[in-house]
Amino acid sequence: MGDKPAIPSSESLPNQLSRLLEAADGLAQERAWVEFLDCYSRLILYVARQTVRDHDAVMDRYAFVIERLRDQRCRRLRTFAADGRGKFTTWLIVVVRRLCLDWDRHKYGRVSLQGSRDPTAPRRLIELVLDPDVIDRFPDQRPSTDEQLEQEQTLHRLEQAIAALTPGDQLLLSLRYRDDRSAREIASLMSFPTPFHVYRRLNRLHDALRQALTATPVRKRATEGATPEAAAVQYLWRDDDPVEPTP
Amino acid sequence: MTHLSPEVLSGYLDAGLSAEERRQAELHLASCGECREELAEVRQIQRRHRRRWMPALVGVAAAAAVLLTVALPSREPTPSEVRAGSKPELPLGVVSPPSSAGMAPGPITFTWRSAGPDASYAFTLQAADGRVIWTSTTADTVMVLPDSVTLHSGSTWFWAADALLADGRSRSTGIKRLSIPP
Repeated sequence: MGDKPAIPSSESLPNQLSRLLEAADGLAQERAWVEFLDCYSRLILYVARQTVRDHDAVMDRYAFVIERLRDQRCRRLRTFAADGRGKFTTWLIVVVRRLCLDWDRHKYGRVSLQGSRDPTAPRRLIELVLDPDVIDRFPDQRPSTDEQLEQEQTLHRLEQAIAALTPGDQLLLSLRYRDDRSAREIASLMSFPTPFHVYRRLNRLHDALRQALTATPVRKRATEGATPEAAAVQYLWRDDDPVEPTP
Repeated sequence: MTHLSPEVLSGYLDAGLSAEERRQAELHLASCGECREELAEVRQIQRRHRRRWMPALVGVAAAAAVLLTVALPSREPTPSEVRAGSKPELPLGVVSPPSSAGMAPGPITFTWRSAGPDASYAFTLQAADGRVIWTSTTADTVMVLPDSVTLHSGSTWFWAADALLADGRSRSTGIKRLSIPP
């Protein structure tokens, strides 16, 4: 993936948006605004309907959203024109959804967010990475250590190993084990070509994390006292898996 | 915690970020459940919205295709197409004389079915060697040979009636064999 300029040229803007932003004040802008709404009202209403079923409530949100979009000479729309890095419709969905949440906060107070998650390592990942053989071996290696403390240390090492992964791999683990997203969903969100690429990448990550956590004395000697997370990084560097997220 | 801006979030979903921007976005997303939730919801809305309009778009495309095929034969036919027919036309039905059986002695009447209210017809009678024996036009669907034309017994002739329709198209009986028994 190459580093490319992110700011789109004005030529890539939808016609209705270009005309709206270029229109002079007064009648021309009024016409351009009507044209913009003709084109995008369905999408705005559709997004507004995702959080509430009642028709009046949907229309309240719609009115609030279009008022905010036109606010300060279409300030938000101008932001996209200057800095938008995706499709306009994707951006519009994000903005309309956020404005609908603003409306809910304005009307009903703070909305509880389902997306907040436990910051510790996900239980399912722990079970996957710490297989029974590894768990059984720990007491033999350090018989004097309290089991509770041992578990905490192991979890800490796992979190450190995860933190040493690339941001993309960390996100992959979060989507899979914190949010319970399917491989298909993850492939769509992270631009993997297929769900199979997600599974293969996850398998690689499990191996890398296991490697980091079960670094045997032999391995430690071989890597001159490498920490688990460093071992994980080394493992990943050796990994010649050609599968990379593709835009 | 500062969440991802709409520009970055939509740019991530549409793969419009630079490598460094993508890395920064993933770093944030990995630790921010709220932004991950938003990312997934926006993608889901996109998909549902696309699916919702897909059947309607398919319907509109099908209707447009039908309209183009059925209701817009706008091009004027060329003269050759008028004569030969740009597409297969139904043949003009023959009532008499019958094609297979031999003719009984006496005056011969050629009759065909009507091609339409404003059609006119061209009748042609040819000898077996291709010579045109007689030709005439009529608005009627019946043609009687004049007395000047005599068809000898034991010979074979060919005849055809071509209809010219008001809209420029044509229909024909095709060339029919006529045998006069000895």
